[in-house]
Amino acid sequence: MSHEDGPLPLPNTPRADGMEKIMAAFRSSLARMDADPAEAARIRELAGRSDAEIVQQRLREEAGDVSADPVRPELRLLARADMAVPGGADRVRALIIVDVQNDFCEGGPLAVAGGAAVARSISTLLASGGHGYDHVVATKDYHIDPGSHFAASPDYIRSWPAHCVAGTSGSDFHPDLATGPIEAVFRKGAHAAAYSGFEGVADDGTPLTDWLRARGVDTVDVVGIATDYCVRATAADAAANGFSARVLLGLTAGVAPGTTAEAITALRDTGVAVSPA
Amino acid sequence: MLSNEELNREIESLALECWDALRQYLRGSRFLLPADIVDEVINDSLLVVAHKRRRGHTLTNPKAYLFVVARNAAVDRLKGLYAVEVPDSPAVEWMCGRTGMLAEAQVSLTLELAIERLPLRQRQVIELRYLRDFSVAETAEILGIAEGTVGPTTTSAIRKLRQFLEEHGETWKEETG
Repeated sequence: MSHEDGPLPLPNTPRADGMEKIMAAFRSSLARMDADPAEAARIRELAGRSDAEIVQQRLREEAGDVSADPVRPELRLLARADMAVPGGADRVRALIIVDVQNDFCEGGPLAVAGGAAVARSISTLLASGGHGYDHVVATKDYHIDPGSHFAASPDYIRSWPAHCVAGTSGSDFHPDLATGPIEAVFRKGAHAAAYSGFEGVADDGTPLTDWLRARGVDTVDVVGIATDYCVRATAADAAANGFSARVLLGLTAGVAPGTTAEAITALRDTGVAVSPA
Repeated sequence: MLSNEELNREIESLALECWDALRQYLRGSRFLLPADIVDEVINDSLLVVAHKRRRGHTLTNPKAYLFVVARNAAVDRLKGLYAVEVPDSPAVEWMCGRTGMLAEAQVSLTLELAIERLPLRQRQVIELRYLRDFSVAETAEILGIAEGTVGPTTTSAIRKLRQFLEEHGETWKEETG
């Protein structure tokens, strides 16, 4: 019963008989779609879901995961067909602003050079009417007792000086970050290290993935601090969760050039696009 | 901008080329959709293509795109069918088709009986996973349950099927490979 024996056949089987009836039904449905916003929304949703699936399949194919879906003949067919992913107009896009907090900017205990400038640049982007994002969210490092993530003598690889402690001004967003457009904040790391924004939850406990999916988001841009740690982990998780992900490098700041370059290579290897801005 | 006439011509050409293969796909053992629902699914899929084309998208392989959309639309319909507790008319037709599916799968009468005696959710999981070849994720999506629930439900169902078969003098054959 499985279709693993070969691709689904797509014969050229003209079926002139009855085609008039089929086309009449189609034209009538098209008119109904134009007249009824709910019907149009249903078709848009079906289109968006299908586009997202194609993007995910392409990412899996590009990652060499050919066994990802062994019983889906239509997707195997698609992989072979080298079909262009439909354009971006139907994408639902979100901007994820990672950890643009006082403690990661100049003057903080874990200051990343250029952190405050990143806050300003993101604000400039959001102030422009045509930024094109359907949703804007932010993540926050928000530590209560993160265990060995904090250390008196940190190694700056796995342990760090105390930072972004819950309730302190260090955990606040940098004052130059425009917070008006931010619809939800996802806090992470209360009781353990958490680099990825996808480990965070909103005030009502909703994880970032669920929040984005509930709004039909299929494409995310990731910006913020630090390129080589939390931005990297967040973008990698975005791709792993099936989102089409991109890091806007010009809107990030990295801890060190070496680890930042390594992060860019690793992200590209996992299907995340890295663009200058 | 595509005129309505051009759009209709494109869609008609696509429908001519794909209609039979799509019907075969949607009537086949995975979806086993009733004929009227198949036509609705194909119509919805053509609407999606029309929507994309009107917005200026170029589909380098519209046939393949049509199949992906049809699959998603079909899953939506399956969700509706699995949610029906008091069968209405399409569901009745679908249930009849389902019996044919068991025969096609060369399931022994005893196993068929065993499947029919399973609690509803377990029967649905067995059907979707083993008779229709849906993945765990797809099964969860169609039934509206968590992916993590599919595994334990399958295990319980198989335990019951095995027990029923053994009680009736048949052995449970593990599928390998």
